[in-house]
Amino acid sequence: MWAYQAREIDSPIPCPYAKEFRAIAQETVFSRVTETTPPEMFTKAQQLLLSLYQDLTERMQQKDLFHFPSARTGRHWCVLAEYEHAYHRLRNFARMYDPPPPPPEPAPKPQPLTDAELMERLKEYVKRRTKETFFGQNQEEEESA
Amino acid sequence: MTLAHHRTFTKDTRLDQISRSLINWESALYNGTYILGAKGSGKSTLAADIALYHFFKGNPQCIIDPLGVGTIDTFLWQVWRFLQDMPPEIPSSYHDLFWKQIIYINVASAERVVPFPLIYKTGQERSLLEVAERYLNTILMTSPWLMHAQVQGWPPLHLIGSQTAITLAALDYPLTLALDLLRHPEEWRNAGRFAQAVKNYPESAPAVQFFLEEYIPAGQAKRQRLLNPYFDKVFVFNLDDNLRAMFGAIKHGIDFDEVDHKGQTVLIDFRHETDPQLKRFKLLWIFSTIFEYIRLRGRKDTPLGLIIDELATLSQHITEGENPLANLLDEFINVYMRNHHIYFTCAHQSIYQLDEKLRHTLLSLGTYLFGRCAEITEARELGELLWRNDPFRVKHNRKVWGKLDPPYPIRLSQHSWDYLRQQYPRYPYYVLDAEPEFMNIEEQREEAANQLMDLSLFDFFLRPSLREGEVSTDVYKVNLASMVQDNVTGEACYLDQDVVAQIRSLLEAASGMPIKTLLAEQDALVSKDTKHHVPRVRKPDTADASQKPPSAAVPALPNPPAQQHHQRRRLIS
Repeated sequence: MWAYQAREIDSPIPCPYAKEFRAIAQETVFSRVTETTPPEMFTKAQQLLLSLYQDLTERMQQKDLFHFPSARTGRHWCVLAEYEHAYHRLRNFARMYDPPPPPPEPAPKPQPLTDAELMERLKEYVKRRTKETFFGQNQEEEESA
Repeated sequence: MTLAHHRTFTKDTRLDQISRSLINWESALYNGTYILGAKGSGKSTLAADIALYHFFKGNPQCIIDPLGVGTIDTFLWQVWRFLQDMPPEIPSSYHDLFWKQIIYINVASAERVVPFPLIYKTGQERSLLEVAERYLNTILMTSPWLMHAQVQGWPPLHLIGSQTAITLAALDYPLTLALDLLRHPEEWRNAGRFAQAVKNYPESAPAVQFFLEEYIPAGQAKRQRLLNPYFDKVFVFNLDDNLRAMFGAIKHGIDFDEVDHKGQTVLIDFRHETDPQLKRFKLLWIFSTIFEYIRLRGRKDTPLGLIIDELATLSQHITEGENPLANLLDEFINVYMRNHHIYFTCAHQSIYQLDEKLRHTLLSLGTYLFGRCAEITEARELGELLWRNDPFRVKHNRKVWGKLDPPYPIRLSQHSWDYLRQQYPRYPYYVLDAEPEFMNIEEQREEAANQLMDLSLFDFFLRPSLREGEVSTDVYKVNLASMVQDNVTGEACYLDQDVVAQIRSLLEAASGMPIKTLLAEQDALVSKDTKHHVPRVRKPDTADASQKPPSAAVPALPNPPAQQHHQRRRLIS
């Protein structure tokens, strides 16, 4: 609705059902939404809004058969539009107040090399080293020369 | 490439911490470091920390450890723990960089040795005499009393030893062939080796002349008299394969220039040498070899670390006359150490292990690190070196009491005076002055000695050298317990003997050369055709005998050995 007001055009006129929906939703749901509301409460609030919409729609069809059939045309702001409005409002609150994702679990600290692994590395080094003793190298050099 | 290029992974040694907090450790090491401490005071751990400091700085160094279990084992264990603390994803080739920096030498190995030939040429010698004198000077250091034995001591040994070594050096032969030369000089002459020696090095002509004109014509008894002291020193090299391979090799097993260039650490381990005489000889010979390199090295920007643990094993107590080792160390410390940028560190247990001259030489080092003393007399002497005695040091201030007397008539008797003083508390005694009482020198000595006696494990008093010619007047107490503590838990982490023994055996295989190869190389020097087997006659040889055919010219020895060296060789071949 504020979008209509901002553009200085005639704002839609909410019907009594829409007004009732808004009042109940404000009183029971939106007034209780805070930054500390847990995510599961938003889900419940969503279900409450839906059931409220269904109740109102059912009552409307029973009592007022000639209620303007479409809320999406003209200046009639019906309960469906009010429900959609509330739905998006609540969803945005839920997104905004989502708790920050938990920090990723620290990567497991690498286990230091065991004595056996380290000794294996040393053995490999010695194996390589003994292959390249200077006797061997000298012989190869002489042969190549 | 030295480890200084790999500072990403390096260890903060205890010396680094001291260096940051107390002193400039580079200056302290520059003027030499003297570590003293009773058994179990942690001096070898301290020496190992100094070695680690050089290792991670990329400084070349040689560590001589007569016992092995102290400095070398601790050093290897520290390197091992350092590699263990590295992230496991580091490739093993990175570990190789560290292992390549370590050359481990077991001087008494039965399979692989690193040769330290008794005759070697550096190319800088003035003459072959200099080559020959090296071994003889080492003999003199191991047995200084030879100098006082004129008949069967130094003079004949020097005469025969120098002529023999010059001849062998001229032929590029090892000293292990000295016995063969001295027993069968005629065969050497007939094989043309003397002529070859003069051809190779004309300066060897006097030595060859000695053999041809004096030694060969001399009778057996005279020869024996001349040879006895020299044989006593050289015969062992032919009886043990390890000694023959190590001291009779053609060239050095270590290229000290390469060590210097690459910033390597040479660990020389004497733990397996059980014979004390041989151990002392090997220690002195290897030290002399390193000293020879230091002389020729000159001054370089990179310092060369030299760490000798248990220095007392090198020395002999000399009650009178000169101690050759003290002279050598004196020359090293006062002339070469600072001029040639050597970071010298030595450690031993007590100053009473050394004679006076050597003690004074070592006490001229700049930095002292004194641990717990075993006895109070030594602690008093060391305490006096560490702390300056101050004759005006105030022990405490004594109060001087005073009192003002009330104005009474003078005529009163003494008794009345006393009575009146007691009756008038308005005039009490008060502290008039404070008079200092000085601590006498003996008390200061005792206090210093007690401080040294009360030191616990890994505690040391450090008196650093600040710069050349200046030592600190402050003495710091340092603790090295963190050397053996785990970085994370802080618990004491002593070395694992089994692991270190395995490291040693592997590194030994990487550094040493097979004894069989070295012996085969020596045997190949004397070719088969020149191997002598000629009849001998009893008559001594004459000057013109060289003109005759070899078989007729060479006399036989009166008492030939039961199994001659050359015969054995022939049988084997």
